[in-house]
Amino acid sequence: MKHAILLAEDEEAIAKLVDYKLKKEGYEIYVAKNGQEALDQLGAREWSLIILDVMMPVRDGWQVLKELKASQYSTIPVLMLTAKSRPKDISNAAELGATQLLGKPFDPTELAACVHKMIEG
Amino acid sequence: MARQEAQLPPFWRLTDQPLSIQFWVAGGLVFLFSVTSVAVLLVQLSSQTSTSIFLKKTYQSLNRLNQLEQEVFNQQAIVLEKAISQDRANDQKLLKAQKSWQNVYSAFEFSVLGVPGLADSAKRLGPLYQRWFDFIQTLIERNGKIGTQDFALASQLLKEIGQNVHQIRDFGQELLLSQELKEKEQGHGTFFSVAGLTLFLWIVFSFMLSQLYSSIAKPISGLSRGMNRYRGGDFATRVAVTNRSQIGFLESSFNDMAEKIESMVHDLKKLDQLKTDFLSTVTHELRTPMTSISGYVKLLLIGDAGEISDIQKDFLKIIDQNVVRLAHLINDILDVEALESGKVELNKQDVDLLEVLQECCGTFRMTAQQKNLKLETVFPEKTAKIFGDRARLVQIFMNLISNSIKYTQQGYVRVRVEQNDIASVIRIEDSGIGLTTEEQENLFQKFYRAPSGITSSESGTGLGLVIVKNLVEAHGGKVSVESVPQQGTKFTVTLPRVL
Repeated sequence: MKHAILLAEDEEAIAKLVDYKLKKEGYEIYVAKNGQEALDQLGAREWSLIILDVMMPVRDGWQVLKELKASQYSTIPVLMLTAKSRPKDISNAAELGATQLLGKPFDPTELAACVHKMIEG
Repeated sequence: MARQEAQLPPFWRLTDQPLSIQFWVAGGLVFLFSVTSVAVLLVQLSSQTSTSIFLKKTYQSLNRLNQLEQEVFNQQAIVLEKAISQDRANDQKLLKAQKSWQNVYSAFEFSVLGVPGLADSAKRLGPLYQRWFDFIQTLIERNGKIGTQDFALASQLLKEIGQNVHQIRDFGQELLLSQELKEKEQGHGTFFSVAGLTLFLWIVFSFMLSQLYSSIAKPISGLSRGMNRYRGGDFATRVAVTNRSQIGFLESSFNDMAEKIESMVHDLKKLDQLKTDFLSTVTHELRTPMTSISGYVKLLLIGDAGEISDIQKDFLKIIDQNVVRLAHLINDILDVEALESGKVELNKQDVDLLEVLQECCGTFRMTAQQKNLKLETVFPEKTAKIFGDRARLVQIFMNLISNSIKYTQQGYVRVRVEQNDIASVIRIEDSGIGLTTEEQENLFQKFYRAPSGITSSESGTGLGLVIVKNLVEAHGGKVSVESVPQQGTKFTVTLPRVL
């Protein structure tokens, strides 16, 4: 069975990049265009991993993460993507319960490796 | 900014008047009171003096009266002798005695002038004596024999004179007593008026001084304390406006200035925050397209979108490198801004300096080998500990070593560490292309790149050394450069040790 990954990213180009790479790695991907859409899709499938961009309209990555951790889906591992990777962002992510944080710009190969580790262990 | 004139409204409290008026009034009061005091004392003294003079004259008069009494006795004696002996020689004696009386009487008249009370009663004496004088004169001219009747009359006249003198003297002594009493009273009066005046003046001056203190000294103290608080960084502090004179003006001006400065500080803080926010937003906006560019390029490079030719690979590599360069530039800009506005927090702990340097050298070993450079370390035996942020220390030395390698074509790059009691000194020496004096002077400026020597593709962002300098100084240390063109460059970093 293929693992399903929920990706929340408003930048089309970046979403396409991640989608292409992870599909090549053998995962199924759903791309949500903003935080609200991601939340709405939480119940649609059994997600193995959630990738959240931080800067998004409507609901940003931190808000989604908070809600996620307060919901029934809190056990799903979360990978945050952010253009700000200052120490306080890392601690913020950890505090809110994100499993991993990857800074932009990222190497897609590195992202794939990260995803693999988080899903397969 | 227009200069404000001090408007001093017409308020009638003394401490609200201009300071010059306050001091004029105070001076005027001092003058008035001193004049009054002097006048009162002079009056007292003059009346005391006149009483003294009066007393002196009374003493003198009494003396003269005593003498007159003596004269009377004397004449009585002569008359008696004349009556007994009928000797004509006594006439001469009498005449002489008359002269003697005249002298004393003149003196008496003179002294009694200053004693009006005595003078009146003494007026009787003159005519009385004249009667006696005339009687004796007639007697002497008539041939000088004194019969019993003459003797009786003469005795009678002299007795009367003597009694009068006595009376006057008694009266004079009474006068004397009352004068002495008066003098004593006046002495007391002077004492009390002096004491009273002093007390009154003391009260008035105390009041004046307390007014001056509260209207001038106290507000100035308050103002000084307010300024001190302000200097200490409390921009919200103000002082009370205590009156409407120049002092009050100082106080309200201080408050106005404090207000202005506080709002300027507030604006500056806002601006600073805006700048930080702006940079933050901009860097984020820059990183987003960069992510796309570098991501796709990387995918192409690893062949995920199909096979690529060697040339395509080369070109793609170049694109990738430049994206990396952009990424570093953005990081450096953020770093510099954070360091310069003091927003960087160093995660300070005990750090093994030698370990950090080994790590940095390790990273560059491959690159040095590729360029055929010797990468050496000269470390002391004892480990050196620095109290600092490990990641930032790594950043410092990575930057410096990377620079040395970049700007050295042949020879060596040496990292030498020396220590003394207070600091560790790290020298990064190379045999590279070196720097001119001008380049050395400008080296730590933002975006400065030494024009000499290397291709622009190899050179960095121009911010590396600025960051190095900021970070070294944030650790309490110093960094400097020495160089000889074509021979080499030496960077010296001094960092205070932890004891």
